[in-house]
Amino acid sequence: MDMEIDDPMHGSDEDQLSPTLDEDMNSDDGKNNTKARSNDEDTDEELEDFNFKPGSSGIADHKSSKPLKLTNTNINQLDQWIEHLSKCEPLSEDDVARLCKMAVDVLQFEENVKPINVPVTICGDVHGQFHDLLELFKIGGPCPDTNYLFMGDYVDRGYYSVETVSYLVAMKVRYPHRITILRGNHESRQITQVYGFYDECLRKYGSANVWKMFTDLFDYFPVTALVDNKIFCLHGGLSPMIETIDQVRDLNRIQEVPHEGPMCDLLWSDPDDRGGWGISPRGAGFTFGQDISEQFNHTNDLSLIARAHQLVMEGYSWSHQQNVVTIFSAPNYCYRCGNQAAIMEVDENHNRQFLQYDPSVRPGEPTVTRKTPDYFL
Amino acid sequence: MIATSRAVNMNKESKHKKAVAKPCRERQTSVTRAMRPAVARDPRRLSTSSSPSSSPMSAQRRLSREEIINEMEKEQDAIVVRLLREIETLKEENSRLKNQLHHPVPARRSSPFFEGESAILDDDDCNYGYTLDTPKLKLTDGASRHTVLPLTPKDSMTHISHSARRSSRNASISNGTSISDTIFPIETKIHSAPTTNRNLPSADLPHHTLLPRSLSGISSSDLTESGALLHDRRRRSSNYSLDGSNSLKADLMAKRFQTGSLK
Repeated sequence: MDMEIDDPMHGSDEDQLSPTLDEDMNSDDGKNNTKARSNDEDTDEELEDFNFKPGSSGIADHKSSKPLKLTNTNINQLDQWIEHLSKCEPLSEDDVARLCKMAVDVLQFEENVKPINVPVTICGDVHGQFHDLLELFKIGGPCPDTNYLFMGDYVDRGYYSVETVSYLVAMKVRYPHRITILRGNHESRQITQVYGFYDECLRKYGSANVWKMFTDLFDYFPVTALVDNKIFCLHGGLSPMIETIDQVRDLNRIQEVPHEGPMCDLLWSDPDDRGGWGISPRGAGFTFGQDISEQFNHTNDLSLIARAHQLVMEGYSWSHQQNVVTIFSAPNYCYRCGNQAAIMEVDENHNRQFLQYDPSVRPGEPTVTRKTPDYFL
Repeated sequence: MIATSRAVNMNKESKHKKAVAKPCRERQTSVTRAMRPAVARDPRRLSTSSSPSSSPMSAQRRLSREEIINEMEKEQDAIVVRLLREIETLKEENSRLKNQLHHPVPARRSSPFFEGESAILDDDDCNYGYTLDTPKLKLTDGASRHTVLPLTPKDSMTHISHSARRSSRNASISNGTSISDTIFPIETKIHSAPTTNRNLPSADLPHHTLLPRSLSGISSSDLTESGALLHDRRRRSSNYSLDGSNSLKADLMAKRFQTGSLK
């Protein structure tokens, strides 16, 4: 009788056990499968992250503890590269690697605020317009006969970013005291993946290795320059976190351009007709008014802030009652804007002269193109 | 976009004419203009960055070509910057989730194990139900008291036996009405023992188990013979008090009396 009473309970217990066991087995199988897939995906993502991380190209490995000394061999090699690039022909990947390593050994020893002596010719955005860069050197005079200061944005938007940045870097290594190349907001890993330099490297080299080399090198570009302690030069504009030039000297510049902070502001900010600080419509940096630039110039005993970053139809534009000047050196910007370009010469007496120029005219190619670039809305 | 397109088209036409008609003169003009000292020009004119050729267009629009292009570029930058920040945020979240995945919370793993233990415990309860050799161990196991019939508390057994004796004595000195009165107190005591009720749900027991086997042959009409029945019950009651199972049978018999009187 007792057996009959207990049998249903025993069966019920078995029923309760079965789902539990099945659930455990299914759960284990699912976890194992998920873990396997997760591991594979994690590996891929980790590789991708590693590949895109600062320093992944290896050009900064085994950096020299002393500035690069130009030997006859180096000089000959650099001259060959410069001549090769003058024909708008990109260097090989190996040559780019060698060039970037040499450039690191030059740029790492430059200050965040690069001191420059007059006379000097100050240039704005170039944006991959290589032939217009050659035109710039024709207008301003060949380097090293003329000292040059470029205020960033050498890549993106144009069709020849690789040739442009290679040429300028090669010139920098060849004539380190005659040419200064600052960092612009487009000298960035994230920005160049959007606006064309990354795609151009893939197209011309078949891989992203050259892109990695240059973007690693960009981290070493100085952020600002100071001409005879009177003209403060930078790509974007001022920062509410920077009141003195000494504060710029204290920045840690060897990094990817952050989305905010003083280093971001120096590369992204714009002057504005409205006073004070404002939120930048670009989403990075700030806008600053005349009161801000006047105060900054007064505090740091400056006569002028020279910057680039914005298109101006005549190539240059004064603002804030000659406290700020914008210089733009990409004529017919994006091959359709129809603007002039300009460079600013500063002589020994600090006299300023603007040289304006139009796009270069190349035989066999139309001067006006109606095609809309992929990287401009 | 329409305004921009028109401006660009006009500019292209103008440049095309210049390029086709007088390329050399244009370059000379450009160089000549560029040689002028910047300080000689009016700052207000320079600040506006408005070329003479665009004056008529400026009158028709609020923004110059330069301003339009700059605004477009800023809007583009704003979109890109926002997306880049979102990408960075998602990467950080992804990294955090991966870390959590690699180091799962212990509670999740212990839950199935706990269920397993519970199942095993149920098995133990079931096994105890089949063994009648170790009543003491059963009494110390709280769970088994709820599932095993023989595990009736001693106090409850004593109480039930005592009640049976009282009802027996009362019945011997009274008539049929007294029998009804005697049954009522027994019923009250039975309901006050929750363990017993849980052990013996009426609906789960077959009808033939309500009476001890020794009494199952007696018909309902025989219950009216008070003398013989009561005498027989008194004699057997003394024997039941010595065994737990007999106590259970006594309880069943009391319920039978209750049912009989109600009918």
